[in-house]
Amino acid sequence: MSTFTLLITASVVTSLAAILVFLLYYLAASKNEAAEIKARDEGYPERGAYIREQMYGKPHPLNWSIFIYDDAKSIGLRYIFTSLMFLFLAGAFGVLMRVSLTDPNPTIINPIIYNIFLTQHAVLMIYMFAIGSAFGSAYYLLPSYLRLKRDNMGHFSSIGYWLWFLGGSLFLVSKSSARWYLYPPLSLQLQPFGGGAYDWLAIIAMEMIFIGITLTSVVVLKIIFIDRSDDIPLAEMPVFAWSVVFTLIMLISADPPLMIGLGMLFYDLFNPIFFTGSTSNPLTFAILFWFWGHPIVYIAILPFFGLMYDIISRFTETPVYSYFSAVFSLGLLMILSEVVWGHHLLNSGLGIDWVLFFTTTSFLVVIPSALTVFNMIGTMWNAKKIRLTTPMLFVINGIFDFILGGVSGVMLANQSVNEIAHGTYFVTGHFHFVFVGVTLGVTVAVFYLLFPTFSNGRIYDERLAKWHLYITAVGSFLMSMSWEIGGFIGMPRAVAGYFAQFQVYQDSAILGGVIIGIGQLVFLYNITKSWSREPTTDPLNILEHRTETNQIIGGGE
Amino acid sequence: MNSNKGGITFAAIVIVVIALSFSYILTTPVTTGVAPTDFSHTSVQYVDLGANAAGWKNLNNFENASAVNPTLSFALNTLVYFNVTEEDGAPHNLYISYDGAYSSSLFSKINSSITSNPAKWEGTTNYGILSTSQITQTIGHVAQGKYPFHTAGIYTYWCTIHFEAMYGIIVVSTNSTPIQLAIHSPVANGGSDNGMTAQMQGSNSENVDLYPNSNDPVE
Repeated sequence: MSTFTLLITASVVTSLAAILVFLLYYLAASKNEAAEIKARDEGYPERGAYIREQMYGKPHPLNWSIFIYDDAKSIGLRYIFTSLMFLFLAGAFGVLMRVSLTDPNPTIINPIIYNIFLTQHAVLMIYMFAIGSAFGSAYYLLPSYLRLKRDNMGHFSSIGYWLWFLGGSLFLVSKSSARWYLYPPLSLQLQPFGGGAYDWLAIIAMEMIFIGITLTSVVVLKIIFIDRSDDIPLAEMPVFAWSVVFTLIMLISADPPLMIGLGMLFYDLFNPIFFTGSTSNPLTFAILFWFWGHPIVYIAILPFFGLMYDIISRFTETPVYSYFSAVFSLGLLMILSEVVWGHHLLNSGLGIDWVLFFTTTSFLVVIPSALTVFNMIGTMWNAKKIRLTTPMLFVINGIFDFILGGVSGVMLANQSVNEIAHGTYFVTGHFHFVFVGVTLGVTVAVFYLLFPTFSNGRIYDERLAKWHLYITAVGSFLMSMSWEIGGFIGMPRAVAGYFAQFQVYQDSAILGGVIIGIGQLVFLYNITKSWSREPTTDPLNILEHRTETNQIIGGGE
Repeated sequence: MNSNKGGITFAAIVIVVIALSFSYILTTPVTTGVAPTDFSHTSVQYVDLGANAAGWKNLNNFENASAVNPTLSFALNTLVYFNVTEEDGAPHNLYISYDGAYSSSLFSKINSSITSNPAKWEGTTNYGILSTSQITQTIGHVAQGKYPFHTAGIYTYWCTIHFEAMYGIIVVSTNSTPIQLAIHSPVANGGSDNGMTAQMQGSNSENVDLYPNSNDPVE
């Protein structure tokens, strides 16, 4: 293809894309305008309230108009379904990576492609699935929880959503293999043995994600603090609302360092003065990254702790054991997350004083984590009866996995253990326990609870849902435990091959990974099958609407 | 959308996205085509180049080639050490790509402009001999990279930052004697470029006094 043909093709494609975007914009603007006029005629404060009432207040099929309307519930549905799509996509990447490790030598997929899958799995899971699911739950549930007075910044939310979505898609297109850290000098080498030929696109995509999620965070904080109904004081908000507040404060305060760092990294592609020049050091980028990189892993679990409290109290019909300590421990987690970033760099030569500081603060994280766990257990302890529906079982499994992952995290905080365990599968096992148990489990639990609402009164198949739970729980335990044991013996992580002495740990982890994959296929099949039935129940549900009766809709048949 | 089909639509989207992503990622080219797998060789040669945004400077007057962007000619299985001297303080790197078997038409096509070969822009078919951070921006610093020429044909070498000016051609013969070529210089062909060359030579003589170039390998 000559340069001339390339230019013609590029301009035609760009023009078509611009026409498409304009059409979509025209559609959105005209529909929202019509809704605005109707809302004014019928006396609603603004169109968001009108759309919410019309679309979600009574049975109404979920349809494509969620991508056109910009009220809080539509945005929430966008986030929930997009994040679920990325969960399946990144999960498929993960399963393929597992399967490729059946042989110690990389034979099934090339190491370069393995590195691409490794990077994409991490970034899509964290930025697209975990954050997307947290935002989705916040946008979808908070309007009902807090009985919003107004909902008038939907266009900002919409911009945030599209920036986030395009950023994630472009990151996938970039085929970056620089891992989610994007450490220089690897990310600056634009070739298959470096960060990938299009790694510059990965840096731009990451900035787009950041701008999107920052914008969204500001809007959600505004929803909670300003638009909340007057009769709900701050001190009586649901724990979920508090967990979202802490998460978003953490997000807004921690992402500027990496946004600046990514800008510097992009400049370094042209003129390497910040990180790889003769008078600079790549460790600088690592520090900028982990300023953000530690809070992000808390961002991926804190909102789900809030949801766990809520789900537990709904299914035990008991208030949270100690509301104050629940909120207090979540707040403490927020503060501590900002001062423990150095434990990711304990062996990078920060100096023994810094190592002591970060080790100490990392141990302190045990206090709020244990408070959270005991608080949840205490709530269940106080209950007269516990309804073990599928969402509740997912939450209980989440607590179990969080304890296992948390204990191995405490072990890693110890500098002497860290020296042998860092860079091994022990670390991978530690965070997969937490992420699969809490992030994935609670997302799925919330999806099951809201399924009758999403699907306009259809009930999910309880038997398939139980299978989903047991398969995921067993697979997750098998995979992460094999990693932890193998990693403690010294199995290095994030490589396309391994030494044959670790064969047994890798094999059992492959088995676990494939089992998790089968579990999510059951989940997908359940969605498809249950949605094809005829509606049999009321689309209102207990997570969204507090019902007086004991009826738990969405808890299965 | 029929409200009964919500789940099927979602599952279809998920499956299509997964299939497209897999086919997109699994078809990634995994070899650079020119990445060296072993450094076995029958002869060794040293090439001294000056990294200057106006064009690669021929510092050891290699094979009577032109003073700027020299066309290099090697025998097959030669291990070539590139000693690159930073001349102007700007960031530079040295990349190489394989263009095909030798023919005069291919030679003149590449010689006319580096942009006539779009494959070079992709970064998947080239190999970096020296990176930007290896050629530090300290004037006079010498960085060394090596490359074994195991395939006969035409190669292009260039700096990805100043690709319009800093590119040249390497010809590797099919036997142990290098092809004798007429003097070729892609940039210094026209009259206007000659003036630039002369100016650059002037600046070079200053640099040589301050930082004498070494022909010895760094190792």
